[in-house]
Amino acid sequence: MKYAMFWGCLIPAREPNYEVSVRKIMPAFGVKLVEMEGTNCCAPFGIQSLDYMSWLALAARNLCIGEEMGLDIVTLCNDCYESLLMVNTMLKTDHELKNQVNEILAEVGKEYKGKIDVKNMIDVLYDDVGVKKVKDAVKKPFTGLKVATQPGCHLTKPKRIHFGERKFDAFDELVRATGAETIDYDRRQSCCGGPLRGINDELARDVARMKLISIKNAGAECIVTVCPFCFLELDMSQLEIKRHFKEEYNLPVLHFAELLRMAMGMKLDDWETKSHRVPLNPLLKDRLQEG
Amino acid sequence: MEQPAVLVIGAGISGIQASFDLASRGIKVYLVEKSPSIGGRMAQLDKTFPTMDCSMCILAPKMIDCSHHPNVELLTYSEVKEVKGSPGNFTVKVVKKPRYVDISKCTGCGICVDNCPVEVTNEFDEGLGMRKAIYMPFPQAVPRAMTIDKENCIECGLCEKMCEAGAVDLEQKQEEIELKVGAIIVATGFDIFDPSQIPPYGYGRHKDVITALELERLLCASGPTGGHLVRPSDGKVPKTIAFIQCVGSRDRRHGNPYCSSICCKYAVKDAVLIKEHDPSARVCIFYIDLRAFGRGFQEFVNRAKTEYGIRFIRSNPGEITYDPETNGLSIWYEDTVTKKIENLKFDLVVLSAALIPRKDVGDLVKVLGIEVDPYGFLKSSSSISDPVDTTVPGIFACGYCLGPKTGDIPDSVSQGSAAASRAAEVIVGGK
Repeated sequence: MKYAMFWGCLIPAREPNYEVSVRKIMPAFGVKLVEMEGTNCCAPFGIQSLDYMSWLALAARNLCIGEEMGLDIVTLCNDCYESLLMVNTMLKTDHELKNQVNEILAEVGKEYKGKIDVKNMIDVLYDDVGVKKVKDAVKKPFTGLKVATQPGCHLTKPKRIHFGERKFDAFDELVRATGAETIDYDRRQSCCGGPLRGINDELARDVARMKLISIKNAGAECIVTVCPFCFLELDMSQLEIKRHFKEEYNLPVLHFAELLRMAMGMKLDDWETKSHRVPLNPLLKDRLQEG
Repeated sequence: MEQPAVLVIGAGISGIQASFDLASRGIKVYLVEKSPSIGGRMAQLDKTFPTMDCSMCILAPKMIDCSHHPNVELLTYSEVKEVKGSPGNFTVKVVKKPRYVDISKCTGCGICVDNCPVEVTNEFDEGLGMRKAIYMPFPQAVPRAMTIDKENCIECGLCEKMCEAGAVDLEQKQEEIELKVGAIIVATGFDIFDPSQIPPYGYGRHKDVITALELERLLCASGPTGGHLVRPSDGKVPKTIAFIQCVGSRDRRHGNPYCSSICCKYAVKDAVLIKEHDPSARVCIFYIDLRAFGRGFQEFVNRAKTEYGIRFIRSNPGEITYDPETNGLSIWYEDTVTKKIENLKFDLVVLSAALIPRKDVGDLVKVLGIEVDPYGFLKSSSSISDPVDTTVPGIFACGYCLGPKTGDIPDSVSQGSAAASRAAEVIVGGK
């Protein structure tokens, strides 16, 4: 299995721990990630609402690079996923739009043909690798660990490019493959607050707080996410809430790749553990250091 | 030549009415019912709107009249397996499932129930109460006879030993009978949308989020709590109760864009009932818009507001959250009148879930060869001029299986009569 890997901006710049974990686990499943040369911004929703055609052209340029490589594109970030998947779906079905975009792309010597698919890491693990293989790779299962899953909104929304709740369940199934237990909680499908950062920080903090309360009430010990924005928001806002409301939730936030990597018997480096603001130590001490 | 009979499938209020009308005209009727007793959904209800009459008090005499009519042959615990032929001359295969009790001998005394050691959840009480493996679904059941649920029966044989009438027959086999009928009436009714498909409402996650039919059982004197409204989670009397309307209906995200047509009416009725049970209770109804058509209904809504003090909030709530410390529920909503996001705390939340076609109606539809609409409700051959005719001549339909254009009990009754009249045309007009 070979894929063109679209890392995006946030993961290499602010969450290299996520990138490292993905690079370490994927070869174990026979997945080869090929670097994409010369990609640009995925064009997330900020750009989508500023200039429609620029969004289409920016995303389509990335898709062209994948086409030139002849490989399906895999993303880690939910925003990259939404933008690339949406534009790919739109251009594949709307020939008029495709021609307009290709006119813009011609200026940089590219042409969108619509030959590849866009996948999320969860798609790859669930559909292409399969839950059974993931389960087989687990050496040190997180037996009994109560996990609140946070798939992030763009793994399943908008509905017109996804199909039902399947991916919510797929993500939970993958988390359970590591031996952990997934907890259903009230605000599972709600926003993490992240997209409001920089626009209305107070509201973002309140939204995150409501989600954290709901997770704590359901009895979860940690949060596992696939989206780098959800990671940042839920991890960092716990510090802010502590300062502002004097409330402590102590819910460590992990990337799914990190959880799986530890379950596969690999240890996180010191710097990786330290890139989590809510300390992982209590969790790691109880669950991993015994073996 | 002998006058052909009519087959009625489904013995709810609509099917019962159709059967009784036909029988009264001297036409032989076979009334087939899947469950052990006739009565249908109406038997599960506590009161009817807007007059607050006791549901069973209206239904029970009709059940008795129908079942005692010399022209009606009841085939309970039976299902239609095959239909062949044409109007005036259908051949129908009906499978009589073994109920392991001889209904001609059983007196319904209940000594077997007292001695049965197996307890399972009662589907008649929407899973809120318990019943034994040998059971009668409700006290007024017709036929007044027990049924053994073989899936849960441990075959200890105690019921057989205790039965003085010698009615228990654990060796009973499935029976297949063939009927000759001239016309068929389908009256299979509805099922309730499963609200757990809307995760933010937490149905199935929180015990105190219930459906309106579950509430109906909790309010009913013959229900699992003897008519005392208590919360499923801790058995306490709820002081604040909310209704959420249009759960799964008028909702493109979760399947059904149609209006189920009866929820506004029964929610107001249930709200008033709760206030009659406990005048100090605080009741809120969250609605998109209130569809109070029909005789006496708008007046009823007005009385609910002024006389009973029920609060109506125009909103389609976003989510329900649970607070483990107080064991309470919070509804988060946008009040679309004041345009504000708010939240209110409640002890009990009732979801007015959409009415959907019977989950197994597809099998029957295939057997009959009739058409359904995109939601699975039966299609009328013309919804304007032939509302109770299906797409196959000689096969008619009545009640909620035709979809939400009809809803309440009077509608179902009048449709039952209409279908009976159309079926009689085939019988009398035929040879």
